[in-house]
Amino acid sequence: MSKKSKALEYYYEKFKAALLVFLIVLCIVQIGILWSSQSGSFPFLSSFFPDSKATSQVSLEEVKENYMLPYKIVLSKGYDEEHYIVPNGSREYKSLWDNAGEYITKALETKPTQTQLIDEEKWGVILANKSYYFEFKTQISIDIVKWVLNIKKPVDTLPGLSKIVICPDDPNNSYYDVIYIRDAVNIYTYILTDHGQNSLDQEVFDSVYNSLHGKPNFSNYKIAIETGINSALPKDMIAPFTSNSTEAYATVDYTPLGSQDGHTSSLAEYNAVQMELFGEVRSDYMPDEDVYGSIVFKNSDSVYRLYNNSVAEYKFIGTQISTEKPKVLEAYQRAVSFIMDIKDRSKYMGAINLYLSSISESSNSYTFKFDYSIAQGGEYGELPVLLKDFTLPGSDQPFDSSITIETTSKRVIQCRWLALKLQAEKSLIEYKWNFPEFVDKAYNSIDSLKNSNLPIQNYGIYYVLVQGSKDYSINPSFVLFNSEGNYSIPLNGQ
Amino acid sequence: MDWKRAKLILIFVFIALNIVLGVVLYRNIKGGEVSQETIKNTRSILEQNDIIVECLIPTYTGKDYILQYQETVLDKSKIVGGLLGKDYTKINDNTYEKDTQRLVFPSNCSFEYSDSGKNNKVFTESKNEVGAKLKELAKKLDIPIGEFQLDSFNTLVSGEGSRAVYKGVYDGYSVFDNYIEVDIEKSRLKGIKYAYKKPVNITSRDINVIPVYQILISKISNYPGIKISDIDMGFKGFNVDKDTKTLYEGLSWRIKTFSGTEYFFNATNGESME
Repeated sequence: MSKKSKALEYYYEKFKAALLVFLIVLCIVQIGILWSSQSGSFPFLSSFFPDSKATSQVSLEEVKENYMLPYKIVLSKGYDEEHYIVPNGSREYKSLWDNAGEYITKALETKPTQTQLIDEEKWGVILANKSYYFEFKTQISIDIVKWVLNIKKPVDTLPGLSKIVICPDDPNNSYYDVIYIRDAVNIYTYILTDHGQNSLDQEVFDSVYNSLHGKPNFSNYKIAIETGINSALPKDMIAPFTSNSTEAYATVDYTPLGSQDGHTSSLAEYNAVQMELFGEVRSDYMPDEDVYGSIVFKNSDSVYRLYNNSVAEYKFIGTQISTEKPKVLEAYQRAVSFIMDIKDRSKYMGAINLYLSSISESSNSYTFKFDYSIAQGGEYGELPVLLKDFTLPGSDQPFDSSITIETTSKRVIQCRWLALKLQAEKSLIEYKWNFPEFVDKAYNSIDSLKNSNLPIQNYGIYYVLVQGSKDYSINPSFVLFNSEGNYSIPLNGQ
Repeated sequence: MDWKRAKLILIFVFIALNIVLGVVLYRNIKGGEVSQETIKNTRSILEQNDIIVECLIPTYTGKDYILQYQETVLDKSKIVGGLLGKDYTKINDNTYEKDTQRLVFPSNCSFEYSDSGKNNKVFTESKNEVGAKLKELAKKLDIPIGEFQLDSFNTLVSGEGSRAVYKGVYDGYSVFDNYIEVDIEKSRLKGIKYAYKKPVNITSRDINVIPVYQILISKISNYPGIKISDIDMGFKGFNVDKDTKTLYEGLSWRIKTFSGTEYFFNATNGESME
C-alpha cells in the first residue's frame, strides 16, 4: 500500500470516528429533548434543557413540623434567676422543640391532673420557676397538634394550646415530669408518673445552656412578674427590663419581583414574573393586568395577582359545590400543602421560616395566618417581619400577616402572601437596648400610642416593612402592641 | 475484532436510530396528526348521542398562539353624535337616551344601541347591502370596520327582522371578542352591539392545542339533539371580574349550531368558556 493511500485511509478512519461520535451525541440530544417534553425530566441532561420541570416532591408528612413551631423558647434557671430566649432556628432550638414534642405527646395521652382557670400571676410564677417555656403566636387547634406530633391515643380534654411550660424531674412533684399547658381559658397541669424519657433533663438543660452561653443574641432577660415595675404588663412577658441587652442583627435587603423599572405588560416581563412566582412559565394561565396596575395570571377557575405593593394573591373563582362545615385539620393540611408548593417553586422564599400566627373560623372556611421570619445565619437566630400599613385594592381588611390563606376541607379559596426577595446581609450590626427605655421613647414620640392609653399586650424586635417604602433595606425595630395596633421605634445600631 | 468494520456498522445503526428519533421529534413538535379514522369514529359517537355534524371537523393539533391587545378607549362623543344626533339626554356617564333610542357604554371599548320604536335610520334587509350600510355608519362612528368580517346573517328569533354578526379578524385568525351585531327590522336599524380592542401582536406558545374531536366527544356529547353547522378556531378571553382587563387571549375552539348557539372551549385545556 502506498504512503498516499495509507494517509487517505488514516483520515477516512478519523472521519468515521468523528462521525460516530457526532451521531452518538445527536442521538442523546434527541432522546433528551423527547424525554423532557414527555416526562418533564431527564437525569443528566436537565441542565441542557431548561424546559425540564424537575420539581422536588416533598410530602406533607415530611415537613408538617416546620409549620407548627413555637415562636419563643425560653430557658429559665428559676424565679429571679437567669432567663434566656433560645435563638429561633438555631440547632439548640430545633433539638429542644423536638424533645418537647415527646413530653407534650405523653401529656396529651393522659388526663390532666388539674385544670384551673388562668391566673396571670400564677402563670407568671410557673413560667419564671420552671426550666422550659414554649410559646406559640396563637392557640393551635388540638387536631393540628395531634397530627403534627403523631399523637396516636389522645385524651381529648383541651381545644388547643398556645403556651407550654415543661419541668422535668420537678422536685415539688416527687421528681415527676410536670407539663403545664395553657389555652385561651385554662391552665392544664399534667404530672407524668410513668414517663421514662430524659430528653429535657438537667443534663440536657446544662448542655444547651453551656453551648449558648456567651453567644450573641442569648441574653439574660427578666420576666415581668419578677420586676413589679408595671402592673399593666402581661405577667409572662420576658424582656431586658433592668439592664441593657446587646444583640446582633443583620440588615435585610429586599427587591420586588418583576421589573424594577415599572410594569410594561410585555409577554417577556410576564414570563419573568411567572418564573419567580411559579418557578416556571405556566401556559395554563393567561397573563393580564387589572385596573390597579396589578399583574394578573388567570384561567377559568383561578386567578393569581401580583399587586403593586408586592403582595401576591391566589383566588379560586370556580363554583364551590360543598357547603358542609369544614374540618380544621383538613383545612390546615390544604393550607400547608399550598404554602409548601409556593415555597417549593419560588426561590425568593428560601431564607424565610413561617410561624402560624392566627386561626379563625367562618361558616364554611378557615383562615390561617403565618408570619415570615428571616434567618440571620446559624446561632444568631431569626427575626420576624411585621407588615405596616399594607392594604389591597378592593379590600377593607388590612394585610397584616405575611401569609393569609383561606381554605375549606376541599380546596384553597384564597391565599395572599408577601412576594418579595428578602435577603439578610452577611455582616451583623450590634444593637444595645432595654425595655423601659424604648417604651419611654415610644410613648414620647408616638402621639397615637400616648393618647390611646391602653395597656401593652406584647412587644418584639421586628423587621418592620412599610408599604410604599422605597428604601429597599430594613433594620430591626422595637415594636409595642396594644389592642388598637402596633407602634415601632427603630433600634439604634452601634 | 475488526474495529474498522465495527465502526461502519455502528455508524449505520446510529444513522438509523437518529432518523427514527428525528421523525418522532418532528411529529411531536408538529403535534401529531388526527387520522380520518378518528374523525369518522367521532362522527359516529356523536350520532349515537343524537348530535349531527354538518361541517368538516378540523384536525389542527399544532401550537397555541397568544394574541396581545392594546388598551382601546372609544371616542364616546363620536358614537353618541353618530347614533343619537343632537338633543339627546345624558342619563349618566355611560347612558344616553333620545326618544325611543338608548345608548349604553358597558365598558370603555364597547357600546349597545337599541331603539324600541321607529327611527329614521333606514337600513336594508339584504345581506349584501348590510355591509355597505354598516361601512357608512362605521365611518361616522370611527369604528375600524376593516378589522371585521361577516360571520353570520340570520333571521331574528322573533321571526321579524335579521341579525348580521361581524367578528374581528387579525392576521387570518378570528377574534371572537371583537364583534358587531346589527339587528334590522323592517329595513330599519333596531340595535347594534359593538365591542373592540385593538389586536397588536400574535406570539406562539410552547403548548399544543387539544384537537377538537376530543372536545366534541367529551363536552358536546352533553348536548344531545343539536345540529352543528360550523367549527372553527379563534382568539377568545374570559372575564375574571370587573377590575381585570383582558390584554392577552389564547386560542379557543368555537362550535356553532344551526340555531345560532355558540359554544366556546379553551383550546389548550378544553374548559368551557361560557
